[in-house]
Amino acid sequence: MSADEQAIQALLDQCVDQIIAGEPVEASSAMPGERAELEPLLAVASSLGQAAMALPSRSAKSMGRARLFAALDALHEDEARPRSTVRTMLDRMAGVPRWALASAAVLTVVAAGAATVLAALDTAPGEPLHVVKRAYESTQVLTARSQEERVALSLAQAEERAREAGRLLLMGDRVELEGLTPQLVARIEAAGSAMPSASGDEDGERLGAAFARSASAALGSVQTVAGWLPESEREPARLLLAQAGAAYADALEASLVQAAGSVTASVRTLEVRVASYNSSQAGSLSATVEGVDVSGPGAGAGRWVTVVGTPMSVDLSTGGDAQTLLGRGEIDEGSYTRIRVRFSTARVTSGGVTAEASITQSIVLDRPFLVQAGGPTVLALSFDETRTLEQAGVHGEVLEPVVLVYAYESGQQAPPLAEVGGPESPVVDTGLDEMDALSAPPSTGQGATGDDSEVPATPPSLAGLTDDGDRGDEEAPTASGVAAAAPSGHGNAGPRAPTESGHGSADRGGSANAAQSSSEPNDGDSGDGASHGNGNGGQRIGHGNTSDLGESSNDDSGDDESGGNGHGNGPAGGPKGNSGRGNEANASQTNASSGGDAGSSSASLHGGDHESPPAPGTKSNGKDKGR
Amino acid sequence: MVEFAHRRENSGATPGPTADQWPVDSHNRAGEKLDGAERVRQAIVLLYESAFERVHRYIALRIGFIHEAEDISSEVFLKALRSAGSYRDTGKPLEAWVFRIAHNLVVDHLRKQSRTGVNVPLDGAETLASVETVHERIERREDAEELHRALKGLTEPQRQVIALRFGAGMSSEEVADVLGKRSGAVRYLQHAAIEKLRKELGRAPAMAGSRVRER
Repeated sequence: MSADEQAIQALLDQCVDQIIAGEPVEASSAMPGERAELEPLLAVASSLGQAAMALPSRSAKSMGRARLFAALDALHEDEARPRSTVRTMLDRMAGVPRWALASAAVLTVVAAGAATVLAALDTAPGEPLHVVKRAYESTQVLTARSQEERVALSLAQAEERAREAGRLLLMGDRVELEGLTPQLVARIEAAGSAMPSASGDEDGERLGAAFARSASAALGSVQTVAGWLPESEREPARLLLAQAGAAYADALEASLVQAAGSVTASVRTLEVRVASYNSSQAGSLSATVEGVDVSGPGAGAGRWVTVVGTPMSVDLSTGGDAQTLLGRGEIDEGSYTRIRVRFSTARVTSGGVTAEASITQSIVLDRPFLVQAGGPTVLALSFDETRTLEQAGVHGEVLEPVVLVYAYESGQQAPPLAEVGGPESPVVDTGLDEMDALSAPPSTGQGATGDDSEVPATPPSLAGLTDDGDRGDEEAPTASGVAAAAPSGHGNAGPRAPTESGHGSADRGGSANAAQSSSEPNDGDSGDGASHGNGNGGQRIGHGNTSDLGESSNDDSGDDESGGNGHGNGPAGGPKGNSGRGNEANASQTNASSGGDAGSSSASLHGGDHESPPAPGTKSNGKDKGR
Repeated sequence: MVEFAHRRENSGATPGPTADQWPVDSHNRAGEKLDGAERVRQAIVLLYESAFERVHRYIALRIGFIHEAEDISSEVFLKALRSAGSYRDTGKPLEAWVFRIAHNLVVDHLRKQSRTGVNVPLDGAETLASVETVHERIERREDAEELHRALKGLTEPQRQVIALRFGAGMSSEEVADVLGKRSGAVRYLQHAAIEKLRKELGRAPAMAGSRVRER
């Protein structure tokens, strides 16, 4: 190659650098003759630069991120369990057509039933052996040695279905999800139906506790995943959570009322906190909470126990999820299923004008939780201001606050801000404004004022996971939805509780934060990873197959014109890099902004207060729908 | 003027971090030391945020399908994650390894595509050009299709260089890292590729966004 050719190549290279950097092309060092040769090449190079400007859609990056996390979780879980030979074989069969696998499965069942079942236990919905897995689970329940074991097995299976649902949500597989939901509900109902005959006093208490933990684990895991998804893809999660939540609440309440009512229980503290998220741009809302009651087996059949009886004004415009202590009450140990929040007055400020607004007398939230020794149980009520106002219309119909409930059950340590991870999302591409996750709402009521240093933030999550089809039903409030998730990363003791999910998602917020800052076309400084959090552990979602990199294939052979050496990586030790933790608090802030927009316009709280709650000073508007 | 800037800011000046240089935790929350594969995985998760768009552009330029490029881009990182255990630190940037994976997936994709006979390039192509007339859009699309056809006439190494330079926004030195070649060889391939494209296109396309400045 001549020196001239090399010079032209070097000049062209400089110009290409300028083109891809978005700079005007300057062949300043080119001689006139060189410039004449360069110009047509630069015209082509410019066209190439333009053709290369195709951008991926934002949802593509979000979904890719979600799948990446799901795969990471699956890998972690795979590593945490002993790897069976059969499972390895299944991984290798990943590319084999389904019909072939199904045939092989049938043959394998005949030839080596136990091994097949073992392998099937690792399968996901949609995989051929998943049928075997479900059949095996049914057999387990049928052959259980005691009712208690039957309940425990059914609950564990319900949690497994919930984890599978999380995977399907991430994969966007609505068809499989629709098929899975009845299976989840069926497992919950099976657990519930096994309860009565098992519920001697103490057995009932113990099983009730297991039931409440299972509800936290299962609902929390689905809600976690749903929070990662773009808003447009969350509807299936809401439907599933509504059905599963109702099933849990109904089963627990129906099964354990008698047993729990007959037990002499110790008295424990239940703490109620309030927060708000998803602040509205249309107006700001404040409401007076007259009181909070709970019901369930722990309270006795059909009874509501008042936990907070002191009215307190709640400002719902603060956002940020900082929690304020609403009050504490002493209630019996046991399982509880529902929470009733009573309101009296509300004020809406819009366009600088403040006016009284009608607000429903009460709302009832389905959320099984457990009160037991080991520390106060905390209920955190997080109000969704935007959806509350949207559903009523500013100055419009009766306000029915949309509220999420998070239960930190006794013995669990309320997680610090960055670790309240359940439903937070690494999927941050919504362009939502960041909320100040640390801003504390003013507390103006008579209730004890919370110490912010002790009160963790509540993560935003799916809002109003109930359907409103029950409105007008004057019968007992039906359980049709649970808008709640315990911080599942913290001590859920149910079988195979997703104990890592909180950590995982909180950490991942770091990456999510990075996503916002790096999604611009000019970004991409890989060095900016220094500010990122990173994820450890996490709930099991997704289904990872080990796969070979396949680097040996498709190499750029035939490089006869380059004169370059071949490729190939020689062993070399890279310089040891720094290590450090990501900015988790920042991650949490970002997550708060993304996950907060989780509800849907069709969602609303339901579950009416068919009783007349004691609400002195209640502004009766006559519009209470008495659901 | 159309903005072209999509390369890494430090491209050419500082090579991207190796897997060990990414700021990942050395221990998990339980205090257990993370193994090498786990650290690589975490680095991949971080790399995803900064490199996804460039990987996508690289793939889109290679295959000509924007939406398929999205799927393949996602698959690149999944494959990297699952293959973290086989990663060997050679002192080269982690993204060089990831782009190798991207290359392999692209080749697999093109091979499948050639079997199925699907060949409608640049469907739904979108660029940063924000305001343009219908005529301009059609013209751009036609130009893009013509360019994509011309790209098919390049040799595989030439296509790789073009896609890594213009799609991934890499410097010649970084491309050399990915391809395991010398930077001189990359410049040679780049020149040969652009020259071939010029001949193939049979004309000098309008200079959109760049002009050679006179001294």
